[in-house]
Order: sequence, then structure tokens, then C-alpha cells
Amino acid sequence: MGCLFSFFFRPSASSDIVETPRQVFSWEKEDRQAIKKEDFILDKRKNETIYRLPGSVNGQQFIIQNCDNCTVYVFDHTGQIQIDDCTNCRIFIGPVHGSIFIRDSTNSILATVCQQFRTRDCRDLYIYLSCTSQPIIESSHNIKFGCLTLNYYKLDEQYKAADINPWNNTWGNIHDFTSIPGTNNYSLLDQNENLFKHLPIPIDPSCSHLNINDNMETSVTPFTYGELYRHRSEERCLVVFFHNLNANSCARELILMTIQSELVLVQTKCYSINEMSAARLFSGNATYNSLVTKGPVIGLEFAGTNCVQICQQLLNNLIQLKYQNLPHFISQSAIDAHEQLDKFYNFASMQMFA
Amino acid sequence: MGLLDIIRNLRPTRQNELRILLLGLDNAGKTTLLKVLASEDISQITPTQGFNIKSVQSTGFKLNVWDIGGQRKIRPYWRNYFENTDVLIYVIDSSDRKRFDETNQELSELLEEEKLHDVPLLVFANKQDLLNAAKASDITDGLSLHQIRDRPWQIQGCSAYTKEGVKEGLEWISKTVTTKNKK
Repeated sequence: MGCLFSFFFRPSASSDIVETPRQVFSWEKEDRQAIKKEDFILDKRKNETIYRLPGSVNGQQFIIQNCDNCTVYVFDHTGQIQIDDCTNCRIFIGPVHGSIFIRDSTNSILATVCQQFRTRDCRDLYIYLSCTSQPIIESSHNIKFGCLTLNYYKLDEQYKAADINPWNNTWGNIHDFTSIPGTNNYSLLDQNENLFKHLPIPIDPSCSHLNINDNMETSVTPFTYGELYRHRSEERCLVVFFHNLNANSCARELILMTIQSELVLVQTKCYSINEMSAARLFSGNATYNSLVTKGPVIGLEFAGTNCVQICQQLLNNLIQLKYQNLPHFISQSAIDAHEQLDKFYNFASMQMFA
Repeated sequence: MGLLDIIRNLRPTRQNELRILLLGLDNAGKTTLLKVLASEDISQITPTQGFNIKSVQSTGFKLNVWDIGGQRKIRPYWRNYFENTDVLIYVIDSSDRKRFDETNQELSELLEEEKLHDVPLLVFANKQDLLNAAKASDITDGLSLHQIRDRPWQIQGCSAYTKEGVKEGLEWISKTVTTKNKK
């Protein structure tokens, strides 16, 4: 426990005390003071359509409050987001570094990429998410959650600026702080409810060069079925790509191929497996143990009839054709897959809460 | 006097444990702060459903930091963690102006709790890096901190993300807990 420990327990320093002038914090500096916060707050707007293009928010906090019947598109990465007391609004917020918190709002649509998603005292919302932690709701009702599929020019760079990994998306695993036994305050949208079925397609000429689209095939965040498939009994398969320059593209190509084979992508996860966990996951195979030390791995969970066999075929073809020598792992049987998936996800949780 | 002497004085008479309690509204940044104190990665922090605890031990002395979830629904459980608290750190999202009244209310109620009687209070005015953040001095006035007479208190502007201001808060705790144990 680095900082705190060293603070209370470090050896005694010399007792010559020199009064050093207090450091200037980053928020006290001139360039920061020059930014006007009013440019990042939308307040009491009505019947308007508002665009923020790439570079216009650039990681700053953004606030939308007391708005009615507005459409807001923020095509940039942002800092923390607060949406308060809005009705009949349709909002897209680009990658959020931190949390997005929507409160006291009703009858609205919100699509976003974020590290945390929170609601309180909301009703009748459509939420499209790519969220790297478990979304939470409190005192909210009739909240519909869907997986965000979206791409536009340089959106992938905005993910990086917000420190968000598109392979880590738990859009449908919701925690409800005020759940009522016998009812559900939320529900999940299936794969047919794509984003632009509910959020209006942006038509302003200023953003036509961005090529904004909600296609599954080109989305930065892969579409995952998540909780829609969690309890279904179809055969599963785990595919792991070890840290490599081509791992990301190979994973995406494999996913495209499986869509055509009627397999379903249930979940993806990217994290650094430690060597001890790797030994248990890959049954002591030494090759894999050394591979995990190179960096985070990308894990894909597929489901469907004859899933393991089909995945093996597709992956073999892909590796031979385009990605020779790309280090990877794939389940050898359905029974193996079940156990491997449990371990893969469990080790991720354990390491997070260590 | 050196820091080792401070640590010896830190050891409470009743038990060899220093207990720090981290409270505040949901989304204040408590868990991020805890991870920063523990020098851990902060890119995958999930909203706290129960609590998080970090412990460190050294030659018969133990330091525990408790981070308790702050959603409205689970604030009634805060009182389960009051006993034997040596320091209360109250974290505020300085940019969430809509909820200043709410956080003021919660802090006031905490300061009236018998089990937290006398416990030194550090207020972290967190998220100073955000554009809409109110200054620590303004928050001091809003929370009427100057009216606190029954315990040592301090407010410190910080950003858990950039780590600025955190060390300064810890320095105050170290100084304050030392003084308390000398009595």
C-alpha cells in the first residue's frame, strides 16, 4: 500500500524544516483558468439540436441540465458527465473518462462510452452503453439497456484518450440499488434494437465527414449479447489472443466470420493475467505462461451449436491465411470451455479486487 | 522530531490499529482515492456496492482504511462502521453543485453522531481538476466548517486523478493524530 504506507512508516528524516512555497496545482494555472466553463454546460435549452465536434470538448467535464426536447451530440472524448432534470432528450456522449451520471430525467435516450454509468431518480430511458464497469441504477424505473455499436472518424482514438478499452464492456450486467422483489426496474434490448432506431441520425453537414454509423461490423465496441445469453444452454468456446500487434485485428476478423456462421459473441474481456492464474487456466502449459507476461490478453466467449468445432475451423483458416504465428489459445471441447470461461472471468475479478 | 517518533505516538493506547473511514456521497471519488493511496491502477473502478478496505501492517501496528458505498439507499449502513474510527475522511465531488445541499446534510448528520464524537475530520474537496469544480474555500463556507468547534478539522482541495493535494491531506492527518495521542 505504497503512498499511505510510506507516509506513516518511512524512516525518520532530518528535522531541518525548510518552508517551501506551496506548489501550484494544475487547476490553478493560467491556461486552465482561461477555459470558460459555460462553454461546457448546456442549461435550460428547449427544442434545440446541438453538436460538439471532435476537439471541441477535449476531455473536459460536460454538463446537460434542465433541457427539454433537445438532441445533443458530443462527438469527442470528455471528462465526467452530469445530466440533470432533462425530459424528452436524445443524447450521445463520446468516450467519458470517468463516470456519466444521469439524474431526475425522464423519457430520454442516452448513448455513451464510459468507465462508469449511474442513474438516480430516472424513468423511461433508453440507454446504449459501452461501459467498462458494472452500470448501476438507483430509484429508477423502466430503464432499457442496449449494447452500443457505433463508429465514426477517429472514435477509436477518443477511446484511448478516455482510457477506455472496447474489449471491456458489461453493458447489460446491471446492479439495481433499489430493486423490488417481483418486478424489474430495467430490461435489456436485443440485437435488433440498434442505436439509430431510437436516437436520430445526425444530419448536420458539419459532421458528414465523420461517417457516423451504427453497424455491428464496424463498431469500435464489438456487439456482445452478454446477459441476453448468460443463462442459455448453447455450447460455449473460449478464444484467447495473447499480447501482439495483430491480436486486435485478428480478434475482430474472427468475430466477423462467426457472425456469418450463426455463432454469437457473448462476452469479451481484456486484462493482464498473472502467471499463477495462467497456469491454472491453461493447465500448466508452459508456452502460455510465458506469453501472458508480454501484456494483456484478449478473451472472446462464443456460443452456439457445435461452437467449439466451428470456432476451431474458422480460427485455423484465419491464422493460416493471414496471421501465421499469432499466439492464441482455443478451447478443445465444450466441457473444457465451460471450466475455462469460469476461470478466465474469475481471475479477472480477483485481480481487480486484490 | 523524526517520523519514527510520530509513528510510536500514533499507536493508540487501547489497540494497535489506526482506523480511517472514507465517507461521502456516491460518485465523490472515495474508491479512486483509496486506490491512489494504495498506488493501484484506477482505470477499472466499479461503483462500490458494499465497501472496500485496504490494510497495511508494520511491527505490531496496523493501519486500515475503510471505503463505504455512498448511494442514498445504503447510507443507513454507514453507522455500522463508526466504532473505533480514528480519522474521518469526507470526500466531496467539488463539481457536483446540484448536490452540495445533499452532501452538506449528510456531513452535518455525521458530525452529530455520538460514535464519531471527537474524531478529527479531513474534507477532501475532490475533482478540483474539473471545470465546474467549486474552490475549496467556497466549499468551506457552504459546509459551515468554520463553525466546527468540537474536533480538529481541515479541508484540502485535491484531484484523485492527478494525485495533486492528496499528500497534503495525509500530512494533516499524521500531524493531527500525533497531537491527539500526546494528550
